[in-house]
Amino acid sequence: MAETLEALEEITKVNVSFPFSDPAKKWKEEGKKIVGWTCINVPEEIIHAGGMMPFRITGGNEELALGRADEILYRGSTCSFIRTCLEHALRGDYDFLDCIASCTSCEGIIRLTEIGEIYHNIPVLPVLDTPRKINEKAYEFYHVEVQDFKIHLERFFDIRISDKAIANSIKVYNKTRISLRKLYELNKKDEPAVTGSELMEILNAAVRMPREDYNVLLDNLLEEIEATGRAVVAPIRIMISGSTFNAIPFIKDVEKLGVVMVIDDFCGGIRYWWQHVEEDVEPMQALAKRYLHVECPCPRTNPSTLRANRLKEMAHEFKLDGIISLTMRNCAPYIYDLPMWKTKVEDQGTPVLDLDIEYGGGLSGQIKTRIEAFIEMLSLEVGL
Amino acid sequence: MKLRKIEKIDLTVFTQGIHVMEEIKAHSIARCETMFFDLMIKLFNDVKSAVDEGKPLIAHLMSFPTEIYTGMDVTGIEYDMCCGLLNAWADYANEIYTAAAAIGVRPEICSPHRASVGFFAKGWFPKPDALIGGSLDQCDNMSHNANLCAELYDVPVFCLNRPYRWWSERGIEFMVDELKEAIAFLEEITGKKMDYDRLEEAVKLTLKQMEMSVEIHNLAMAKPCPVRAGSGFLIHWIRMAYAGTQEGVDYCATYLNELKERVAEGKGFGPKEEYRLINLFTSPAGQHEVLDWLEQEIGAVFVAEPMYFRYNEKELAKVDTSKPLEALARFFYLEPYYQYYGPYKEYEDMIINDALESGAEGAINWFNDNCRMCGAVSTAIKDALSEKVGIPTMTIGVDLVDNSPAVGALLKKQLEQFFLVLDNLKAVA
Repeated sequence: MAETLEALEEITKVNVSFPFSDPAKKWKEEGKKIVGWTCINVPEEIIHAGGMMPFRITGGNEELALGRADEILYRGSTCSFIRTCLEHALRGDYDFLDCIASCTSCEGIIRLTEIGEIYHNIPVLPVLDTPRKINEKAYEFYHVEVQDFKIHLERFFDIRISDKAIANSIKVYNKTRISLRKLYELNKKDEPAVTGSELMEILNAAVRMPREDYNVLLDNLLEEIEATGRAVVAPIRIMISGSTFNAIPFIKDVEKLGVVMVIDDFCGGIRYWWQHVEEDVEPMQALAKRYLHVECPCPRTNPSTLRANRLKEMAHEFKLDGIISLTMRNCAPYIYDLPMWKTKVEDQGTPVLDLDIEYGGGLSGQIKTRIEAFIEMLSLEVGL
Repeated sequence: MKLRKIEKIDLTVFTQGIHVMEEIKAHSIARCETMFFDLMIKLFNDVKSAVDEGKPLIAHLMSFPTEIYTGMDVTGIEYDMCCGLLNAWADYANEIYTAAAAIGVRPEICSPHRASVGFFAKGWFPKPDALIGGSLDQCDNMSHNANLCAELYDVPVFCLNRPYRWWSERGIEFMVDELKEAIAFLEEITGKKMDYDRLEEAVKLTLKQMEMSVEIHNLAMAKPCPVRAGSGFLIHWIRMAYAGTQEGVDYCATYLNELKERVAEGKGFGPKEEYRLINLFTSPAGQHEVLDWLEQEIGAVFVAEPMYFRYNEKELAKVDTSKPLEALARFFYLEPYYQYYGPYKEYEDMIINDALESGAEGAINWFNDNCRMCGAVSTAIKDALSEKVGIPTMTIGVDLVDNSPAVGALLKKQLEQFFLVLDNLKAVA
């Protein structure tokens, strides 16, 4: 058992109250605005530059009982992440948001935005039209979308967002990326610095509090890890891959079975922070390019070879013994994407366990049995 | 679950499809039905000839403009439509869905797209020189299915990325660039050059098809309704497969003339007309018997099928065929079927306006089970029709290509309940 980190405990406190976190409450008490965002193609820096707090709309740690959202979005075909987000919004859990910023990343996000707007009472900004295909023309197209997004924010809040403020916000957000990279680099070691469930705490907090404060917490964490030489015993190193996933108890329970998630493949994980925003390029252009996520793409992205290659590299760099792939039901991009990388990664020597889950679900029943069997197989392979 | 390249192609099922279509054609009632099967059989034969003669063959997902094939003199086929229809008519569900599942494609994926993957995984689809996907940006299947099928057949793939917003000039410009890129890709793959004069002619032919569809849309509202149950689906698929061709124009003319004759004679297709309805999505291709029952026994007719027929006349008039790529880009936005794949408000406006204009008494929304785009808007559109038009909607989630009698029986039960609701409303009125 690795020693407790004080900085990590501070970070964990952010996630205790969900969704209206204590830092968000404090922010609102100061009379400041919060903009909810739905997907990682929304450039947070522009929101931040306007003096608002960007706040990611997700579900919490537990599976939510869905009622009205199931009726509205049709449970048979809409993924449980989207329905969970809508249910929270319909219950008023997200009423602290001043507006919602969204994009056209996948069918679910589009319909959450368009249909959600009809039934909940949170204003929605015009969506960013996010190309599926990554190339120069897509960057140009998204550049204009990002510029328009800034205008929409300015109009909505009756403010002006200066280039200088955006450049500054890019620096602030890049600092987060640098720190998270350092943290993940530490997890490449034979004895990683943090467990997967701790990683998830850290990542969840990133999108629920003011960024400057978060950066301080991250600095403190990295300093404490360095000072204590913290190391986690990881006889079996795994990645958990999925579309949207942020349930800490699930990862904690998996890790109790004798593995450590040294790296994730989630949209709230590596895909969220991996790519830097270039600071020597015109800011809006740099943001447009970065927010199409070419370096660590979402399964929605074309060509799909980008993701397959990235996952192969990660399996190698993080010395993975195995990957647990969690396909959220009705997440079509992930369903199509999985066969495109799974065989390639397996051919490289990393076994992949392929499971279906619902968003926020715990580790129980058949899922638990299959993970146990997978870990038992990995134990034999690593000679435990 | 391993994704491996398919080594052996077997066209037995594809060829059987031609015989199956011949059999179904023999039961046609309307001229537009007979001609539909003639053209579909021709399409399949063209594909077979291209394979036999070693000519270039391209397979694409819904909405790739076939005018480009005409301009390049290349054979092309929409493979999701083709696989979906083959499955609806001849039922290979067990084998193809198992094959799709074996490489990891879940049952949550809608049946036409799962059928496509299954056909490729079985090696039952003719091997094209390339695949084109991604035409309708908002459907996740559209942008990814071709990647998987191309991987199975080890052929190049191109993603045509359509933006989300309608009518924006920037969207048109982006689409024109995408089409240029697609043409460059096809020129490289096929070794054939685009003939832009020929493309311009093709675009003119498509425009004619759309203009005739406007007339069809208006005639469908006549009393009695002159439209054969389920035939909107047929004309839609012909436009998808034969846009930019004389055959496509001839089909629309046949469809239109048949309607004109019936309107002049004051004849519908069924013996009575009890319920005048608006059809919100694609009626189930595998359930002709249910559609016939609606028409012949229940007396329910579709006086409005906006997704098949509601072309925007004003915008059609703006199309400049001398700029064929720009015209094609505009067609992407003019095609009412694609309204589902853009902003919801545009789709809702189209439905509401059509419901009001047609005077429909109720709406049937049979959306494809597992279609995330359709499922997620079904409550919203039902609420909108209730609030803005004052009519009820029957929402039916159905597998569009499932042809089993059990599904047919269930559909009838659901529909009967809806007609009771309509009867009550009439009685109250």
